[in-house]
Amino acid sequence: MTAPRLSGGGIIAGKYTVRSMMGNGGAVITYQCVSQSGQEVAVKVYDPAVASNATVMKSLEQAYAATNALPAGSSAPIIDAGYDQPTLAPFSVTEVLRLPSVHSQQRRFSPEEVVTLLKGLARSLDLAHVRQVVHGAIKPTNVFIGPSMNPVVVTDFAANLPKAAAPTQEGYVGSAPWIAPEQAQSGSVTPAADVFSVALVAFYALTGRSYWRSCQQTAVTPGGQPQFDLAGWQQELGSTRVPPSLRAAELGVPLSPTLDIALCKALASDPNDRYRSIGEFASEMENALTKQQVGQAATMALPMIGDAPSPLPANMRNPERGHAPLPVTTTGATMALPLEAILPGGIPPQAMGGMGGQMQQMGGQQMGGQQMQQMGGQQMQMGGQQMGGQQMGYGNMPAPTPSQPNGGWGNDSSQGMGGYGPGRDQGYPPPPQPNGMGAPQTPVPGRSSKIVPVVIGFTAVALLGVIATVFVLQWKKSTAPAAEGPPVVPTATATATATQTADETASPPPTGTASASASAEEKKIPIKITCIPGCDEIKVAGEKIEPEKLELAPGSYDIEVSKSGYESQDGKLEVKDGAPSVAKTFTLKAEQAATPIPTAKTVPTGTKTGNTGNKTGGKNCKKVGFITKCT
Amino acid sequence: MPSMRLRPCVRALRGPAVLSLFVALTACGGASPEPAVASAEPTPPPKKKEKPKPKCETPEENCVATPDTQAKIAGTDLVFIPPESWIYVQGEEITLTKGAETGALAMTSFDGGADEAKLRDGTYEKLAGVADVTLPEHFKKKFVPNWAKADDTKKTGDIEVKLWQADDAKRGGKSGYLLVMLASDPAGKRVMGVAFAPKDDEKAAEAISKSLETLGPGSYQ
Repeated sequence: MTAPRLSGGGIIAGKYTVRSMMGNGGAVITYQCVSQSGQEVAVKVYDPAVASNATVMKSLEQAYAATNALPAGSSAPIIDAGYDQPTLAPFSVTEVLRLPSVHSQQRRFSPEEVVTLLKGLARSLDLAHVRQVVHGAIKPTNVFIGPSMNPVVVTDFAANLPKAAAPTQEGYVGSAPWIAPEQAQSGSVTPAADVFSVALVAFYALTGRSYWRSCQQTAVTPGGQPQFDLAGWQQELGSTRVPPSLRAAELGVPLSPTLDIALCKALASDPNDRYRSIGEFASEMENALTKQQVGQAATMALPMIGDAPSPLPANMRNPERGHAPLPVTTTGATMALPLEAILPGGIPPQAMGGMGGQMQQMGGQQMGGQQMQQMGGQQMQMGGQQMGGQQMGYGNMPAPTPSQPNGGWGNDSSQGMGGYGPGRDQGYPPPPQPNGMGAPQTPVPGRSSKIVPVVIGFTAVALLGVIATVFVLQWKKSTAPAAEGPPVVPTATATATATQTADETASPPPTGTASASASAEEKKIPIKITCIPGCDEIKVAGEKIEPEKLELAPGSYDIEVSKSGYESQDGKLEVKDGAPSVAKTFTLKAEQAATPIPTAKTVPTGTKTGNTGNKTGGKNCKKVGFITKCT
Repeated sequence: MPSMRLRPCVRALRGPAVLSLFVALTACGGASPEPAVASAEPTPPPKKKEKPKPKCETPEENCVATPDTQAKIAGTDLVFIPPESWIYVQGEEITLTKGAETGALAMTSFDGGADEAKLRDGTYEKLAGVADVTLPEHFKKKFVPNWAKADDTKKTGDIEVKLWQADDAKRGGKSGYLLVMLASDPAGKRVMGVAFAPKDDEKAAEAISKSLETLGPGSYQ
């Protein structure tokens, strides 16, 4: 089912005359109407099925109330709502905005304008989030901007709700390119989903294009039926994010990589990794912009190295010349994005400038720009020149290999590369910083001495590896005999080191030798195992024991306690040499009683109870009221 | 002594007295008397009149459901076991069962025919009224289930039970969940139930759910 389709002249709720259809989201159709008083209004008519979903209707009411409580000028207030009696379809009415939307402006916004846009969005969305209302459908057609970016008006609060209640292909396809991964997967809509959507809108505003490769054909088609590669989008949504500057470069649109960190964080797959609010995102974007401006000012004072600089901005140059910024890593893992996948025809090996063809990770810390190491091949680095805390670096590197796919960054100076430590970028790598430093660089003699610390570093890592290997082998040897010892009366070799030992000794029967037992006898320590509310059976290393007489030699033991009507528990018992006694207490939990089912005695026929509605299928299901709901 | 004086008289009368007694008995028919046993049997006590089993058709009867109770649903052969210890009334049209708190379940049946949709909506409102449940309201319109798509489906025996739920229903001043159930009996009659469980009483929702699982043909009535 979909929302009722009305033609021009049709009447909604007896008081709104339809002029034209403004948009079709499947479960919701927006009509431009004229009220009885002659006012031009936008009337959203919902699928009648939505009306029967009490939860959605309640959420809609809350959203409308929250919308009307937002600061004046930050959202389009709902001026009427009700039911269209002939169709039983719910509807809501707003004034028709005389402002252009981000989409309808048909232009690229400057980063400064986007920051202003984000601040405006934060004004309404963050406040709505505080009031437990999530927009859930932010997209360029829902954000309207006044002259000089003021005001920023958000419309269509909770537009996702009717679509979720009455899903349609139109609704899904229309919203899809702007929703967060968790929204697409489970319908979960949180403020973090709005942060994600706002980041997509920001990218759209900056570039005039959708962030997703699969949505480039028809990123926004208001009122129409957008067609795009849905499967491709779903795949992109679930994969690692490509730095927005790189994606913009693919589209032939200049975008400063200084914004990558903020955008990447807002576009994180995990909602917990995103900014907590739109305001925070806006601040980070503003900070990044400020740094970029400072960096650009500093860069201009430096002499150019290599070829004459391209008149084009760095990220608008021919990517085949190696200007494409490096793909970056997400938290803890190097992202392998072959440039061949981005640049048609691949990249000529010799043209691959490179500074830090591969991001190195040491001890879980991601290395900043000044720490990027070049692996093999020719190298040129111009480090050490501090520019307001930022470092410049240049270099060439060989063509990327399958194991080293992130080549190609050397032609851009690396302003702003410093300081992107783990605490700063929260796992995001330093973005590439094209600033017009020119064509492929030639190696600078003398800089290769920088390789010394690299060699030392790798030697240290190799040595550590060898030591670790030797340690592991020794440890395995030391624990091997313990596996043969008796579980309850361990031999002297059963030391407290081996958690695994206790596991291994659980299965074989006690086979300790007389001498070993004798030595163990000397060291036995009284053990007291207590259960609350009591135990029927106590097993130590798999063997049932009498708790009153338990004595154990020093070591580590697996304990398992059980009692009828209670959940069994297990745990580790560490018996340390020299201890006068060891005590361990287990608190048992009562087993959950099974739900009684009416028996055949009470109703001889028709008593076979079944449940076809609670198939969890791995989903998270919870009983709410009478019905089990799965997410 | 006077006794000594009378004794010769008695002796003189003894003979004629015995003779006259013999004659009198002979004259009376001479039939032997009934055995003494018959006259010795005790009279049976008057039978006590048993109290009639309550029909549980009016609230005044205060019928309390037990695990063996099978409440009839008017107009159909189906029965259900009301939640234990709940009061139940098998009315002419509607069977109502109520808990000690505000939990309630009302069941009835209606014909599934050409006017089914109309009957269904009417029955729904009627059940809600009898159960004294205030239906949730949105946009100033009372909640009506989306009959085309159930929120959940359960099967009890061969009967498929469709379920709809809504928040914010009210009963007895308490807010809670509204449950609407719809099923068909083997004869094609529709069986509808409207239930209410307060949000703070999980047991009521559980009891009603279990009660609905017992819906089936009755074994005795």
